[in-house]
Amino acid sequence: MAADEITEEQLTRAESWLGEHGDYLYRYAQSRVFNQHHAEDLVQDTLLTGMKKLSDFRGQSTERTWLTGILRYKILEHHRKQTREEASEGDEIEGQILKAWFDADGHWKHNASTTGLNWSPEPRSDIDRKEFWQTLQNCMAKLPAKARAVFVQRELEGNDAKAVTAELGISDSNLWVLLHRARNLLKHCLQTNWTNA
Amino acid sequence: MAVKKIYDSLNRAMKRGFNAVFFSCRDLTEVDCSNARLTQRPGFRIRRLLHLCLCRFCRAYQRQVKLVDKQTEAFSKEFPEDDSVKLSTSSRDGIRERLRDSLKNSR
Repeated sequence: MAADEITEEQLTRAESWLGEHGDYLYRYAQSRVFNQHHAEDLVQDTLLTGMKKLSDFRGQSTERTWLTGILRYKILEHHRKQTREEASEGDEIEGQILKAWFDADGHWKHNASTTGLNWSPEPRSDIDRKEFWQTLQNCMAKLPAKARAVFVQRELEGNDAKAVTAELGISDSNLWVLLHRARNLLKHCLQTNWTNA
Repeated sequence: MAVKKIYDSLNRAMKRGFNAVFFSCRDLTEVDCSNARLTQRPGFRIRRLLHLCLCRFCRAYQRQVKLVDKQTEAFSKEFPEDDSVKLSTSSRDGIRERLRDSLKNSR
């Protein structure tokens, strides 16, 4: 049997993973890439890789933990592709938001609907939470791809700044610019689309 | 008309004076993303603190951005555990088919 030949045992194992862990892996991917089709592709790639590398699984962690590790790497690869896009993506949108927020001297415009003085992104009930999550996913999906990739890797995956810049091939200053952009765009989108009245 | 002009000039002069001492609101929103240029200015911390004491809009912004970070982090931890969200049957079937194809293709 050739080294890269897949066995029936590997296939059976992968199919059982799909049954036991498929939904979890899908949710994990969805909460990092905010796109249903990409999330499904990532789950598929993860199971294919896991199937081929079954011999590497030594049982030191649970199957789910091991598969999630593979998935996280696939998500990082996905984000690497996205950071190859133009750095200026999002410049215009952010510029419009900052113009709406600040006057010529860099002070907040005294417009409650723009500054949202009383707005708070805190769901107050379980029903509220589901709606908030849906709005959050919609807003994350709208972020410029590069800013989203950096925000997810730094804030959601918990990677430190040095690791993020190295893995995504961006400079230190670019990292902070992109994080700042992601936060401003996210706040603006959430404030516009979700109220906790 | 002249009164308005004088008022506007005074207003702008005050804002610029405020910015020189306490930074502008726009500059301060960048600080939490480690804007090194600003954080290295003398007396940065105290000036930032005084700005926040004086500007309720900046206080609101800081609070809201921290909450957005907190909620996003909570989402990333809780959403994968939410059993109500599942792969669709068609997606599941598609993945299964691709797994079987890879067995055929490897032979």
